Amino acid sequence: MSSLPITREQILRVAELSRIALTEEEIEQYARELTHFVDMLSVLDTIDKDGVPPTVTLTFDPIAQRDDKLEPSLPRDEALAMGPVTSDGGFAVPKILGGEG
Amino acid sequence: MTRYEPVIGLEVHAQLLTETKLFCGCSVAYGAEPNTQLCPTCLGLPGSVPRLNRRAVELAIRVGLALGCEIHRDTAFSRKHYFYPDLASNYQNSQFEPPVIGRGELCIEVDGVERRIGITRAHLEEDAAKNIHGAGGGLYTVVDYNRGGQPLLEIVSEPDLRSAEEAELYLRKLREILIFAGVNDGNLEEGSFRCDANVSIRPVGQEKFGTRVELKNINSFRFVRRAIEFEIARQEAVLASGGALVQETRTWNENVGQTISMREKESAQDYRYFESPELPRIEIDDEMIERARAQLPELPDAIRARFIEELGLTPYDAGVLTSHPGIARYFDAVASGMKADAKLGKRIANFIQSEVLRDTQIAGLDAKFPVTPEALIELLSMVEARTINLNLAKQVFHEMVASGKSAAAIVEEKGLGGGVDEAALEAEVLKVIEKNPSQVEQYRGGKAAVFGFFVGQVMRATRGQADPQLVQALLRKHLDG
Amino acid sequence: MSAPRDLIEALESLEAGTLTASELVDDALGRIEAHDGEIGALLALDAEGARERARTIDEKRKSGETLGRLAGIPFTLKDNFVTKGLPTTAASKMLEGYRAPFSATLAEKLEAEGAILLGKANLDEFAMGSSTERSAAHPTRNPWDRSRVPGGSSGGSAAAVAAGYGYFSVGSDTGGSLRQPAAFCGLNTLKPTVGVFSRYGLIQLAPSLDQPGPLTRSVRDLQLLTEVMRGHDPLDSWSSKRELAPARDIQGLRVGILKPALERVEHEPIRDAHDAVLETLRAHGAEIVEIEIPHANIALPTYHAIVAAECSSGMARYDGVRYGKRVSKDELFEMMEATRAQGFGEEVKRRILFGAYLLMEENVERFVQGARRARTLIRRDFDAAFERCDLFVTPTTATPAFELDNRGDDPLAMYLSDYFTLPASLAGMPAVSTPMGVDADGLPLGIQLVGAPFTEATLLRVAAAIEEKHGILDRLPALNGGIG
Repeated sequence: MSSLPITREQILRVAELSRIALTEEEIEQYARELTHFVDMLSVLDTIDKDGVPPTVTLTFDPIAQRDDKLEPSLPRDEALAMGPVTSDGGFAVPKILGGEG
Repeated sequence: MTRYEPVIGLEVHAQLLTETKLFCGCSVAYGAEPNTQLCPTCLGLPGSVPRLNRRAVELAIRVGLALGCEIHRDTAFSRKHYFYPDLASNYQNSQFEPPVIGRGELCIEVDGVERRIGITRAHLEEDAAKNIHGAGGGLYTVVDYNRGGQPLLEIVSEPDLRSAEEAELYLRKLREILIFAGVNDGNLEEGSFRCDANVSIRPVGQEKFGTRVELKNINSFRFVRRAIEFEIARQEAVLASGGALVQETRTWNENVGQTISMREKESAQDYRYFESPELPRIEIDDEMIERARAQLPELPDAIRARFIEELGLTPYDAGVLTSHPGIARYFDAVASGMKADAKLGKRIANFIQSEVLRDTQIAGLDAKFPVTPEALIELLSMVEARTINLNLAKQVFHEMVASGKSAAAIVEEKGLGGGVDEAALEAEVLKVIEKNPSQVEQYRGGKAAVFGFFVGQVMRATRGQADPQLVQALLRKHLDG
Repeated sequence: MSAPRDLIEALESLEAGTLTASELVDDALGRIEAHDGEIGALLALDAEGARERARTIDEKRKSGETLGRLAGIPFTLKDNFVTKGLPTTAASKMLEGYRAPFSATLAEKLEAEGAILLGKANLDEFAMGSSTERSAAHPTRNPWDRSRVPGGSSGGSAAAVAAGYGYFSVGSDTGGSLRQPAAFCGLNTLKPTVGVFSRYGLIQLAPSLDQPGPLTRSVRDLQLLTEVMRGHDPLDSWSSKRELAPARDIQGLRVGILKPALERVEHEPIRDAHDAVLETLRAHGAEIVEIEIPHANIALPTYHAIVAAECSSGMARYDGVRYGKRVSKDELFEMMEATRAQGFGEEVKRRILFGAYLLMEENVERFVQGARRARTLIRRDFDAAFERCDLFVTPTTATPAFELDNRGDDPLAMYLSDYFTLPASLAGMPAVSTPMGVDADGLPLGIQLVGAPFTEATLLRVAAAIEEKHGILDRLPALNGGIG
């Protein structure tokens, strides 16, 4: 069972969605490996999963929910101390032109 | 020339009235210093664990009930992925299919005709942070994560709206319901009630929808209307000149009075929705629904109907007294405290509208009244008992507002209580007639306007306590008789 | 000082006054000083802080104050648990210099019980790997044989315990990341039932699978740590309030074995050791029954599809905006793309890219939902299996520790090394790994015990019986001057 090889374009698309810049060698390597990976996964297509609900989370007790109660926030200097670049009391990124609010 | 019909659908992002964010205990209060309401969870720090705020789910159910929508019993949070600095994890916890709230509808009245606008769905999601452009001397965009993770309900309408006016009416109606239901503060400027509009046009009679433009970030009702009107005209002009419309996102620029195309994305998004591997499913049982129903306050349409039918209000007055939930509650408290019927209800409404509302301060969901309903009940009860008349009641009311004293204390202090009995009043009337022979002559000579002079004299003599109607009757008896 | 053999013995010596916490800490620091240049188990060391805390505990003990249950015991923490006092990097350049503003619940709990944190242990970057060769800092070597890997991804933790850097370490297990290193380093570990140990502060690889757990020298140490570490944590929404089921007698226990899986094991000493363990259990009155996990053969693709998807999503947060590394660029997305290109290692990028592919609109139903459905089938197999047995045993790994660089070229082959450990992870079941002797080269071998939810105590009791007969504590490098 062999799937179609993953193309360079597909890897570039996935890299764009993942926001990772790739070198030419990486593009080739990951395209090859992703082809194998998809091959490995394709065995899952062959088993009968009709009507089988997916396991998404896994706990043996209900996942706890929280009451709407205030908890302390981080002091601002402590939060901003983590920031690689900060300005005007916030985390700074290169200027976004016409970006979404 | 082809005639076009606009097709409009609205997406409203309503911030749910919780104390804390959707997945952590940070405050959602508006106006805090940037980046002071954040924690490992809403900052997406490694090792943090989200914990769902159950209140947000309760409020979502309440919205479903208020809008008469289907409530889906078992739905999930899904992650919507896209890289942008306003998402601390570069994904948004939202709902894909199905949403917690399903189909319903909302009635609006357009030129006296009822229109039913379909609601497609409403889903829970976390808000994005705020990007502040041009900070750091214009070098940077700075991110303030205070808003990130606040609970939103996105309410999506069917493309059932056919004009900018209808869109505005729908939004006003929806906002009113959410405010009265106690789930949203309806504040457009602060962004707790935000609207995006999908606008397209199609030749009248055509079934198929035209190319859709999404109008984003419109932050006032006036702008909604202007933006949609502009957009309809723009689309018509493009088609009339033989051009083609592109599916795009535009934003309203108030300065130029136009919608402006937002920069197009380099390539189509793929949000890679998948059900959250860590958040609980939203499971809703009968008990939760019943509890939400018990907590659902009376909605404005029902309140207005009751005010009109039971408390004798005109539709106009009912509208004024339901312009804010606090005002409706205030009127209700006074009316029920006085066991008002239709006649008394109307009198109470008049007094509140003419006197109380003048000194009432509205700030968001808060309404600050000059006197408590109990204090007003005490005052108006004196009028009903004819202890004082309405004019005096107004003076006493202003004294109450100024001094903070009770109506009884003021009446007592100024010796206003008790009114004037008919015999004493008749004596006063005769005294006034006796003292002013020349005016009596003028009156009897046909100068009817002098009558007011006599009324004034009698009222002054009784220090305003007399019932003006009785004064008039007695004067007529003795002057005309 | 004559070093105690295990944590319990160390505690006894401390209580008897024959040893001080300072001596234990100095002994550990001496070993680190002597060996860690080569073994490379640690990423951060807090020698001064550890000495300081040891002195405080010794003084408290002298003055008769009540002390915690682990007072004076030095330990290490896998560097994917955040700690306020020490750097947390997850062995990634992406978190170079990162200082977390909060500590993992388990770190706080252990320190509150008086355990002394020596430092942070190496791992495969963001716990992605099974040899600790994928650490961005340096690989870790196996103290039993320095030409070999300690396993992974909790390899730094396992090597630290095996080399005597303290008496235990806390690591994490997503598909075998505690059990495989325990087997490779001759240690004991427990991957608990979901919800027994708090995950708050554990940096996620795949939240639906990640579990913390301790690595110890002896089973009784593991029993004590299970007791200390468990308990409800309101900060972890998955944390359970349930008590563990009481330990059952081995007499009459039905112990399952997986015949077809065993046939996959080519390393004969492992098959032999496994059979010897069964003999021991029989001698204790256990009944050996054959069971099946029919979908075990799809555990591997199921696991890797789920991990890739969850990992691709969860790792999106590392973008150079709020914390960690940033590569400076004039344009936002270029900044993110360069930061992620340079901040992440090869394996991390691989999983992020593969996961993004699986999550794409046209693929998500087939691969991700498909794997999630397959996971349900595996869970059902476990439910059925536990109708027939009370627990089951398998070798923890199909081979002993392999040599460094041995599988570097074939990432898919590396994935295969988790064959025995994946199913219990997918099913969320508790699993213990305990040593079952050594092979002819003197390399430790591990046996895995898998139980039904919340049956940890029974698994530990059975492990103790195995240890009694097949334990290799005396051979542990930590107890031998010339380690490795």
